[in-house]
Amino acid sequence: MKLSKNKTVAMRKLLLSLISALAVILILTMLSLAWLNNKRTLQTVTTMQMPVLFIKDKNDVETQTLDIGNLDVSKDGCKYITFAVTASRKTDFNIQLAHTTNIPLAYEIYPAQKNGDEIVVGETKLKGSYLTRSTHKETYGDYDEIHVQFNAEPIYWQASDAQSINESYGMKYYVLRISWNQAINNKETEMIYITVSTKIADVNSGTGGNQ
Amino acid sequence: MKGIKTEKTYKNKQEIDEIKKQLVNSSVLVFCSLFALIFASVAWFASNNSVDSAVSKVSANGDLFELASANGTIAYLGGTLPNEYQNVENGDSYTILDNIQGIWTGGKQTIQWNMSDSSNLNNTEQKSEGLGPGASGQLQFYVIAKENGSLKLRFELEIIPLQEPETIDDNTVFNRIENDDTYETSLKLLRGHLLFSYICNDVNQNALVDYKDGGFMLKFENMVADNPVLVTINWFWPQTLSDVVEHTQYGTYISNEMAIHEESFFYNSGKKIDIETVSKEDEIQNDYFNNADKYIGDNIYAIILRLNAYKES
Repeated sequence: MKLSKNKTVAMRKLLLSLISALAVILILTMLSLAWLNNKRTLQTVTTMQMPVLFIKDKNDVETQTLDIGNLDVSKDGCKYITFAVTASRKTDFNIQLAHTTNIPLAYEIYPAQKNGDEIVVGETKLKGSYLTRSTHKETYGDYDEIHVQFNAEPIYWQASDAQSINESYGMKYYVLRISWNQAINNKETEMIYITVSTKIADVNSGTGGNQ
Repeated sequence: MKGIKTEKTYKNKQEIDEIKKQLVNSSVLVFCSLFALIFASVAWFASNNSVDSAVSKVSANGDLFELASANGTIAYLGGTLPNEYQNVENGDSYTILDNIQGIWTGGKQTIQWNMSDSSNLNNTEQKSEGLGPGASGQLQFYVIAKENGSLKLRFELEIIPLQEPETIDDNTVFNRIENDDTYETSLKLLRGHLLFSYICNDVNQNALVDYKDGGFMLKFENMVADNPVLVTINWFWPQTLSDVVEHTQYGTYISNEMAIHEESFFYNSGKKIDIETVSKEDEIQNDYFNNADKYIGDNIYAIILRLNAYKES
């Protein structure tokens, strides 16, 4: 009798531990599944576009200045300056030209190809427009227009279509054509800036800041 | 008398000892199985692949919500992602509205987030130039309740920064940024510069996502089962300090935050930055702000962007 009593007790204890183990398993399973049920995810990827742009001369050497030299305005003429744009990564960019108006020069930028040492100028110049004098305020702030000599204030031209570099360090060549009609030579100095930027600025908004 | 008593107590003591022993044995057994269970569960969670089939079986009874994404273009990175982020399944077709077709999670944990024309992440095969300062766009998704009534969801825009990929056996392989410091700093700055706001007309919400952890909450009151609700996420990466300070919706808030959590917005070669008040004219602040963008660009090659949704009780 004692033996069976022990056995019953032992069995009861076993049963109890089994039930408690089962209960724990059930609770944990429910918790896990509940946790899974409650999470949903949408996933996408994208790259960071932050290429560095360089301007190079016709010999593919990075440069800050492009030598234009002297212009003989005693007769009609024109001059071509080659420059190249490259970027550390595939990107779109804007070309902007800023220049003072001390000398009556006309500026055009043509896309070009480089074949060996030769630069072949494209047929159609880049379309663009001069951003109006609304840029005066953005450039000079509240500094009075009277105090800035009209010709010393640069005007900004921007290509209307974004240009693109299609691969890392791909090169895009351009030729700046400066032309003039015969003019009086007063030994003036002209300042010309070519700017390229990856911010695709809205031409119509007239934002002509230097990048 | 005394003798009999001793015998009885001795026998009781013996019984008690036996009971104790058995209790200890059973407890040990229970703890061992508990431990084994926890271990198995953790292993189960960790290996997402094996989880999927179990989830779909369970999904028949008791999923509380699903997400959907209108048809669009799939993101293209041109390489393989780190293992933990490869388990993105194809969402099943789902009719969101009469005129909007899409894909939904339908019991699956992770599906692709389709891009639309206004997403502007530049992450499609046709247009893959990527993200940069001065850009903005819009991402959308739908929440589908599986039961009528209220539904409270906690969202998290998770960003995983990846470094320049390596080429292994002709394959392009992407990895998370390996250097812990760089990972932390670049992610912190990116979160401070890539700002998200969320709009849900159904709950009349239009607010900024927490820039520190990408979190936001939506409490839907009268959800109708299987009736998709649209949530729009507008993202904006300011070009300059002025752009963010002058932002009509959150310029003031972010300006205040910038003076408290400088490390999320400004960078100066890793040195500590102290700013009292943010001023868009302050040249040094502008420099630090732009340096942050440069740091992001120098160190992060690409990001994985995940919208995680959790049910809150």
